[in-house]
Amino acid sequence: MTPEPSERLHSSHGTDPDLVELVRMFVDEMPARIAALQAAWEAEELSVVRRLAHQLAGASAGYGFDPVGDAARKLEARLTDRGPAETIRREFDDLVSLCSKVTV
Amino acid sequence: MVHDIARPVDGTPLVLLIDDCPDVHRLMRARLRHEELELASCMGGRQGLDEAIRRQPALVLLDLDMPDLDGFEVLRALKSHERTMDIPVIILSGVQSSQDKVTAFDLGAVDYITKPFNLTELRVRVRSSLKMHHLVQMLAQRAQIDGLTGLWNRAYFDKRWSDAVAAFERHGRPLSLAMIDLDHFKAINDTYGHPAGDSVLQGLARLLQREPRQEDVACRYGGEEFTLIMPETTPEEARHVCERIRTTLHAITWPRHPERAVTCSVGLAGAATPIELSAAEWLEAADRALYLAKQSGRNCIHTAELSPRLAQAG
Ligand SMILES: [Mg+2]
Repeated sequence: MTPEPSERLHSSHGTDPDLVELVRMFVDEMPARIAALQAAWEAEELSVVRRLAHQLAGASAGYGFDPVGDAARKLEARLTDRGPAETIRREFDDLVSLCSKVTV
Repeated sequence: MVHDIARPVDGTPLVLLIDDCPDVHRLMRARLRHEELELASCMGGRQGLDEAIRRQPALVLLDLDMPDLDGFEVLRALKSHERTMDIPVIILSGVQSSQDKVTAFDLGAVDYITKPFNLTELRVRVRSSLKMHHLVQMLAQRAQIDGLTGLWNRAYFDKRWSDAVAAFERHGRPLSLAMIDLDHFKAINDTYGHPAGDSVLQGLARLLQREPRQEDVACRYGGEEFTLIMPETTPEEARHVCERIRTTLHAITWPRHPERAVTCSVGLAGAATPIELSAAEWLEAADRALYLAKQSGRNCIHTAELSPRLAQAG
């Protein structure tokens, strides 16, 4: 379920005093995560892509980015089931696109 | 180290989080920040298992999906190890799978939480597991305490003493054991009544808790007989401790019978250097020493001569 395209994806925990620092850290680290995802994708190391997606699936909703978590979980499941290549491709792109929108 | 059942039940409980994802550690730490607990982190199954065995946390939060050793294997290992089998384990999982839940509970998990965590739910479940663990520990501890005197009971002594002898064999550090028996206790009971006898037992128990050092272990062995395990204590040092107990007891004025002093006899068996003696043989030696103290007129200490088994055999 790709969300309506909006420039930014805000954390639902962005105002939680216990979490705001962590959310900021997660957002700051996001470019590195995207780079790792893309590098694994270019190298066709799908098991690494699956691992990274798995981590995003576990973490994103915790930081208040449920759509990222959903997309990551979808991709992870698709890679586990070895779904059609074009579906994997689309879901990978969806995930990267969502990741690049996160902000506090 | 001596197997430490005596670890205080109070104090901040230790919660061990085993998860391969750094984000989960950060989030959990933030989420549990205001709870009364100490959170320790392990990033893998194998390390987590070692850490759980070493530190014996009050609760383990365990991820299922980990590359080195998956959560079910860790859970199985925790539940089959003597030091960790009673520790409650909450499974953390990224997936809502009925099969996984069934497996988790079959293997002995107390709870199953799906990531991402609902904050309130997480706190409530962690609290409830910690509370249950606290109660179970308290009951286990209570079953090993003598009701009248508050000292450790015979069952606890047996275990603790064999642990102490095992540690002595491993490290060769001094170890002493005293058997302390009230003199003419039956006469006190018969003359002044059982409440008076109980007061005397409690009086000696208080001395046994007060006089020795922190690491010494006082037990009510049975009837009017007490034992005192003194790790890291040579027979000479142990004799000083017992002498203080003996003279202090003798000097007490008892409200129910101020005219009648109470004394005790002590059998002491200790070693400053390695010696081959089983826990049972050592205990017998202390018991024989106690018998000799009684024989030589009571209100005194007799120290056993412990000789190495080789010399005895030759
Ligand atoms: Mg994991």
